[in-house]
Amino acid sequence: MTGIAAAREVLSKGSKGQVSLMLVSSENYSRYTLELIKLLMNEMKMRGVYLTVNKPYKQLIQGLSKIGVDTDKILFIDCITKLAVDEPSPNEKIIFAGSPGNLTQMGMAINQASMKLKESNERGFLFFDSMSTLLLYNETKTVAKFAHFLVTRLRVLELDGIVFAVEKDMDREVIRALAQFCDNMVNLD
Amino acid sequence: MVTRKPTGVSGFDELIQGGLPATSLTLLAGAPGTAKTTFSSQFLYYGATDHKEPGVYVSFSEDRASYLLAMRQFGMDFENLEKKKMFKFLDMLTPRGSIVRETTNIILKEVESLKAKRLVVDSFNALSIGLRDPASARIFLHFVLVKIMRALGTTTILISEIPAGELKTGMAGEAFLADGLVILHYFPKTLDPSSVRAVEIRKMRMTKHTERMVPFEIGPNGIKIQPQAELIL
Repeated sequence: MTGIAAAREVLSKGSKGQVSLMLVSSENYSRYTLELIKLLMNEMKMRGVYLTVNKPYKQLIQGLSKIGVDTDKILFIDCITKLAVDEPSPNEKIIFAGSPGNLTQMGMAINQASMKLKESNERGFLFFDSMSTLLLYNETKTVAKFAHFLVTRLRVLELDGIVFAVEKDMDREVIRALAQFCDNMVNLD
Repeated sequence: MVTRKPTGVSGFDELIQGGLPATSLTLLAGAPGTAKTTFSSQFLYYGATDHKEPGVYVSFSEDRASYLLAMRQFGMDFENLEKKKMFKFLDMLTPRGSIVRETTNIILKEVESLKAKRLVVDSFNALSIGLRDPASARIFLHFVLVKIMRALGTTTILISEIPAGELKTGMAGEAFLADGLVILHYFPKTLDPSSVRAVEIRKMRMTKHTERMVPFEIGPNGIKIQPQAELIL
């Protein structure tokens, strides 16, 4: 089984707080990120946090709205917009957190967002769009440290984690390290 | 049971069992831009507003007008506290007479007349220059800040500048004399508009404190620490 069907199988059967690594090719990346959010929100009726290091939140909202996802139920952590705009307009649905190179600030934003998410009793997720981008800005060891922090945090808070990685951009060592922290690994292609 | 003075720095008190030990002297060290002034001003401001404890800010490096303006940007209206006799800014930019004695007298007079329970001295380095030699600064530190302030029941923060890029403190042994040593760190990120800042509690007598460096942010209300956050560099 591949594609969204494989992701559905893994996500719907797992228990709360599971972390899944989704490997994808760059060609299918955009399509699968959107479809997976649709699966989580529309089919599985979850609430969530979308942590983006690749697309500004405005672009994400447009893309998700087009496929029928109610973006009001998503809290965005945007680590991209601030790279281009000094002081983006404040918005209670969006946390602007530095850049993909500032993993400390990203971690603080994750804490803040996940606490907010925990206020509602619904099953929640954190979707990270992708780990591979972090390697452009950080040393491999630092990315592994961040991955460990993220997975631990999600487990403690009992939030499902969906972590994307573009397979071609990652060396095998990093994927192995990531897979070791995660509960599942799904090859979407 | 140790009486503690909450600092008013969001999240910091959780790292030190609820606040600075009463009548202690804490050295607050950091490079320029690490928010030492903001940290210590929050200690005075929230001490006055939330705990009804008057405070004195002794500055050897900044004038009153620029200090008040800078702190207003973080929502701390010290002018209003001055009117209510809950705060006093002591401008010590100009050296006076027999310096150690004069400086001591001025500070003591203000602390006593305001019945101040909180004191900030900014900074040890400027004080050393103002007092013309490190030996005088040590005398001031030992007798005035450690002995007299403790006798008056004042909890004190002494700011110390660390040159950017260096991590050492203690140019005149101030770190050894203090009850607490708190270091504010700054880690520049080349591609990031907002660099990383972190607080480290190197020592705090009578206190079980965190051993981790904990990141913090500077927001519209000053310093905000997430006690659970991790420094990932």
